[in-house]
Order: sequence, then C-alpha cells, then structure tokens
Amino acid sequence: MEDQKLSAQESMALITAMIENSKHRVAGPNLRISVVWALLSIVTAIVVFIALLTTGNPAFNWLWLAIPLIGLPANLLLSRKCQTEAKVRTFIDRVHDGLWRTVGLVAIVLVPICLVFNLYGYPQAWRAMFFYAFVVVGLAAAVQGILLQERSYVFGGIFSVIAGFVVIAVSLCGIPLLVVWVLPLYAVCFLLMFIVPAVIVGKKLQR
Amino acid sequence: MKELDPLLHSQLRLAVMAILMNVEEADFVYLKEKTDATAGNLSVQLDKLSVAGYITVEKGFVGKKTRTTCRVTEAGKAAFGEYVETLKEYLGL
Repeated sequence: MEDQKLSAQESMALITAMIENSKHRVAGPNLRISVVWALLSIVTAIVVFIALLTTGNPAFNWLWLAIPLIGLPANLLLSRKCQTEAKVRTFIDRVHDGLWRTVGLVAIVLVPICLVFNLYGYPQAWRAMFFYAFVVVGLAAAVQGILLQERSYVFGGIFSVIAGFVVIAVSLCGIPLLVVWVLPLYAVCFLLMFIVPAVIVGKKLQR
Repeated sequence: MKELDPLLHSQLRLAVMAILMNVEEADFVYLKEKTDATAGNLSVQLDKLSVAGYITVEKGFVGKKTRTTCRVTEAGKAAFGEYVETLKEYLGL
C-alpha cells in the first residue's frame, strides 16, 4: 500500500475493506487458556472419580488441588506466550480478560477459605467450590458466549448454571451428593462449557 | 461542500485509521500485515498521524523484543468521524 491520494469512492471502499480485514480477530480472543483449565478440571474429576470409586478413601479429594497447582503456572506461561503473539487488542479482548481474571480471583480467595473450614473439621465446606465451578464459571462462560456471539458457550454456561442449582438444591435438601453422578456431571459441564465451543470456534475461524 | 481532511485522505493513513477505529490497539507488525505497506513507509505515516494527535504510538518491550503499539485518540476518532461524514456528502449517501 502506498501513500497515494484517493477518490471518495476509493476511500469508502478502503475503509470498508480494512474494517472487514480486522473484523475476524474481534470474534476470537485467545481461547487456549480456558481450554487448558477445562481439560485440567475434567482430567482431575475423572482421576478423583476413579480413585474414590475404587478405593472409597476420601483422602483422594485432595487431588482437586491439582487444578490450581497445575493450572496457575500453566496459565502464567500461556498468557506470557499470548502476550508475545498478540498483535492487536480489541474491546472484546479487554472484557474477556477482565471477566476471567475476576472469576480466577474468586477461586483464589475461595480455596484458602475452604481449607480453613476443613482444618476446623468441616470438610463439607469444599462443596462451595463445586457451587462455584458450576454456577460462577457457568455464568462467566455464558457471558463469554454473548461477547463472542457464540451460542455453544451460552448453552454450555446455562447448562452448568442449571446443573449447579440442582446440586445446591440436592445439598440443601440433605440428599447426599454421590460421587457417581456429581463428578460425571462436573466433567460434562466443563466439556460443554469450554471444549465443545472451542472446537466449534476453531472450525469457524479455519473456514 | 467541506474539504476532506488531507491528513486522512491518503491510502495508507486512512487504512491505518480504519483499522485502529475497529480495535483498541494494534502493533506495528499487525498494521504492516493488514495494510501490506513497507516498514519505512508505515513508520513515516504513523509519525504523521501521531504528530497530528490522531494516534498515540507507544514503544515498549515484550520479553526481549520491541513492540510499537498504536491507539487512536479522541481527536483521531472525531477526525475520522468527520471524514466519513464528508465522504458520505461527496457520495450523496
């Protein structure tokens, strides 16, 4: 492109072309970080599920801590990599980052709170993390879907929020939260909230 | 009929402004890719837009690499808006 003068028609065509040219980036902030967190959550849920079903030892619940212990360094690494790759930043990128930073901050504060409850003999406080994962993360996934105009995120998010309310209702009614259905439900929610939509978005961007 | 802003009425500068109006910030490499301009020419045009107060150009580092980030200013947004309105008048839209 040179520094040449344009006619009015050429100017209008150029503006339209440049907006179109930079538009597809607006629809897709980096989704790798959310996929890594989702995969980590699903794999941990499966490992805990198998361990609890085969041994019945509740100590295996400590494996949940693998999510923040592996996820946080992985997140830092990936976001550093994204920073070196990113060439453009849009309003959607800013809102997307702010949304997930807020969700992450809530989790960082919730884990020590649950740990303190656990130390004082109330391990059932960890259920709050389940509610967080279903409801708060689900709501954020739905908002992400609205931002990206991607219905699969909205669907996955709504599914997770509803599943979360069912889990809360069951818990409040005093019905035991059985590993046999809660953990598979947890894994399915993360699959629907992040993995399936990321695959759909990836295919759309390829096209 | 109003005159078209001569600073924006140039292919490369207008392309840069159109991109920056669509995003919050973009770096030099991105602008170079999207406009298909040479580094030297783009650099000169960015400087002109910056001197006019239409964009801000921030030079920084990401790791060991330098990165030049451009953002459109409020004055730039107003000038671009006015330019498009004048264009519409010219085209009878």
